[in-house]
Amino acid sequence: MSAVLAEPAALEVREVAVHFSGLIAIASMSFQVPEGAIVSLIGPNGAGKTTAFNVITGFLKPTAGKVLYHGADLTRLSPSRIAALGVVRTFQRTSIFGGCTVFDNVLTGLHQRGRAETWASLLRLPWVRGEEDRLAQEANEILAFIGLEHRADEMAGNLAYGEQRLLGIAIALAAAPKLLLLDEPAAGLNPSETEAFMAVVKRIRDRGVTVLLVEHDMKMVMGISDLVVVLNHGRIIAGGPPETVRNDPEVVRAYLGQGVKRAEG
Amino acid sequence: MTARTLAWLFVLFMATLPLWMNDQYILYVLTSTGIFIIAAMSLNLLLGYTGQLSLGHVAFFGIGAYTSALLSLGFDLELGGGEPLVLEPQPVWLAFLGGILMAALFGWLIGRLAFRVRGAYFVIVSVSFAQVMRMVALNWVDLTEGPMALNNIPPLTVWWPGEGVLPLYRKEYYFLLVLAVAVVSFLLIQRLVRSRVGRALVALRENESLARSVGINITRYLVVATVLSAGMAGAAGALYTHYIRIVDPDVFMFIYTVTMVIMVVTGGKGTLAGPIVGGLLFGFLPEVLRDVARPEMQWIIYGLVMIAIVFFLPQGIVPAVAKLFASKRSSRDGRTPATPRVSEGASS
Amino acid sequence: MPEFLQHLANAVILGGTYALLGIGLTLIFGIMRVVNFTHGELYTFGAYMAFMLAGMFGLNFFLSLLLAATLGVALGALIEFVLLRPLKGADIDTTMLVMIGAGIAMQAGEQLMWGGVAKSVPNPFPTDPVVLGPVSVGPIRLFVLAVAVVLLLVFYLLINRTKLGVAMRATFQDPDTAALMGVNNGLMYTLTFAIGSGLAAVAGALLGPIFVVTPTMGDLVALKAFAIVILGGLGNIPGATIGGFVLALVEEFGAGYVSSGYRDAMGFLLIIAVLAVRPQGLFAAKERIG
Repeated sequence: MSAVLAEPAALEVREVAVHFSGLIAIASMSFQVPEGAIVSLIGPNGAGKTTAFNVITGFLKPTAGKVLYHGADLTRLSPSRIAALGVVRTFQRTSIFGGCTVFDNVLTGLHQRGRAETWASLLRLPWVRGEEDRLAQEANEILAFIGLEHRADEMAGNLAYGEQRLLGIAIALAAAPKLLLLDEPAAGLNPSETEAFMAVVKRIRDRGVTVLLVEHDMKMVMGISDLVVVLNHGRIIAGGPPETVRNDPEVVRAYLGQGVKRAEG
Repeated sequence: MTARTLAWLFVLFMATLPLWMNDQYILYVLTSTGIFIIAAMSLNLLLGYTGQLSLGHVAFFGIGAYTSALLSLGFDLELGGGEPLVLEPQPVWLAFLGGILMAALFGWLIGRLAFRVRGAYFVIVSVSFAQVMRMVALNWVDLTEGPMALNNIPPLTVWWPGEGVLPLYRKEYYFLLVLAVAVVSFLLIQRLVRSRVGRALVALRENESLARSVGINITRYLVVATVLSAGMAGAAGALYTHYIRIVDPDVFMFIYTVTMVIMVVTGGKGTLAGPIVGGLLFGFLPEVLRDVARPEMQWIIYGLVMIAIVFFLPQGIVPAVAKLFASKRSSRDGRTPATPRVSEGASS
Repeated sequence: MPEFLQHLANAVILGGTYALLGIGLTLIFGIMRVVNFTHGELYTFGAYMAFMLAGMFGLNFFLSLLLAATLGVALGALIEFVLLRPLKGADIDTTMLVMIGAGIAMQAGEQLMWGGVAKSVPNPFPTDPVVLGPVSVGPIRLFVLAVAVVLLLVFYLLINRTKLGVAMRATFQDPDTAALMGVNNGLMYTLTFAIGSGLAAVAGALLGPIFVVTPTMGDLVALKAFAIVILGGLGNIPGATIGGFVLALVEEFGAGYVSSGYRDAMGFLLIIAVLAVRPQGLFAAKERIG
């Protein structure tokens, strides 16, 4: 099943399959993410969601199928090439540059926004200075947008858990994504932190970034998604607006009946 | 009094040293320490900033030394049947450059290999590489004179206004040359680590998958790090060879890599001042201990010092001292977009 | 043809001790994820112990070997307890540096104790070679081969047939689950390091009488041990065994037919070649590198 769309698809996952020497992680997955929408990919544990992310962002090559972004075939590309095309992901376990300051974390994320390479840097050519200033300014803007500007000089490794998750998003934003993939962004956050996160994701979408997220927190999923796609046993079993999916019997069955309703509680 | 002013004062002080230091032996120690510091700084770029466990660094030092020596001496090589390959002695600065380039070339090869072979495996490969180089130097007698060593290597020359080209025999002048090269190397590394490239290198060290996901090409920056690091080590090797003016296969011994590693680690890997502090410490420690302990005893002490540093000051001396000062400093300068805030990517 | 057989015989004999070395290191590598830079020094230690006991104290040769091995095990346990245990959880650079520091101190210590002059270990074996057809072998080498084979067998039985072996393998696969099943991880690590070090010491004690004993003999040997481990794959014991023989073959035939000066380089070139093509080692199952 795939979601029916009115807008053009930004991302298309077409019959992707992933086999690990005998184990079928993903049987056949097809879905589309429309431009400018927030789409959530949900499913019980082990359904293959992170595997799907790894395939889309180039960290894993699928056994079959294609991933297309605005028509461009991403399937065989490396992660850095895919990032260069505007498809950026965050990681399930907190992923930051622990030994650098928060500011430098974001500055590093802005790598693609600069072009100073070795010779230019060693010779400190005049335009490099201007580029560094511009990048610093962008980093400040991102930190302000995400709400971490007061922590800019802290070592990223010293931040509280929730702040580190925010930093992970800030770094992803720095890479100037047009499509942002968030891998369980709300994992381990308390309810108020989750609320704050939901607001951030909405603000990101309002800036014109398409968002695809994998999430277990049903409140978040139902609260912000335009579309929900459900993965179970390596296949898409439902897709559509949150209300439709919530009441879909197949979905309810996949979550053993109570999961979906109770989680929204 | 900023750190920067302090550093320049230190350099100035060092520069005046030959004027009043009469002890030739101390000058010798300072000069060889300086050469080792340059090598340690280059290792720091690879080990401290990029996080690559390269334990074969002495290979680049040795390659730089041998290449520069051979180019400045000239050689003729029997290539098994046919014409021997003959090279006339080259101008010594050209040979010096050749040493750097050859070391950088090998750095490139290792860099490309490093991408495929990571972590513990890479450690072993890098150590093996240095050993192979030693064996080549030992066995390819036709080219390297093997254990008989290459002798009478011409000294580096300097052009002085009014006097033309002078060979650098005197220890005072050589010391100044090494100081100059050390300062230049420091500035180059400083510029690099505070740039976009430097941030990419640190990203490699800190979190490779994350680095990839923001568009940093891992292979490319690994190669950048190894090439620069190797070239700089090659320069140190070439300086060494034109100073001592003899080079033999022992220049490839693992113990020299260990010395460099000790300097970097105790000083503080991933910091700019670390290799310098570590270098001075371990350059002079043998001299201080000379009258008190036999060479074997000294090495036992070094081994123990290294273990102690890892246990008690895992970041090294410089970050520990910096922390001490930071906790005493009260103000924090304000951040404006015009002055990009940069840290040196202090290691975690 | 006879030359070929001679090289083959030499390789087989050398391969046995190389296998012991390799197994010791791969065990440590595999279970503890430690780049053990003291392995070469344990080898040297074993040789010096054999020299000291048999040469200086005049003890029975075979007893000296046994004692040397035991002392090696004890030293290994000591190193693990004092240096590695406190570092549990530290990153690989840190442990590596500590091991290097320990290795340096050990080598210098050996130099201090016995000086740099090569020592030889007295042994009761006749020097006339035993001639088996086209191949001639020194009797002591036959003894070394026999001991190596026996030790390899004992080790296999230990790993595969005893409770201890099961516990060790469990810790290798998944320390947390093993702990849940009642395995004392700390004890496993100490035992692993001790046994691995013991194997290195035995190899040293066995080869000491054949070659001479110097303080730096461990350097090259350590690197060969690393080469063997890479060939066989980290933690892969049968792989290390095969790797040991492969290295010995490459060295023997390389030295014999190509160039003897580069004998020791053969192993290194082999690893670089293997890793360039198959970064996970010749026999390892696909495992995460680094």
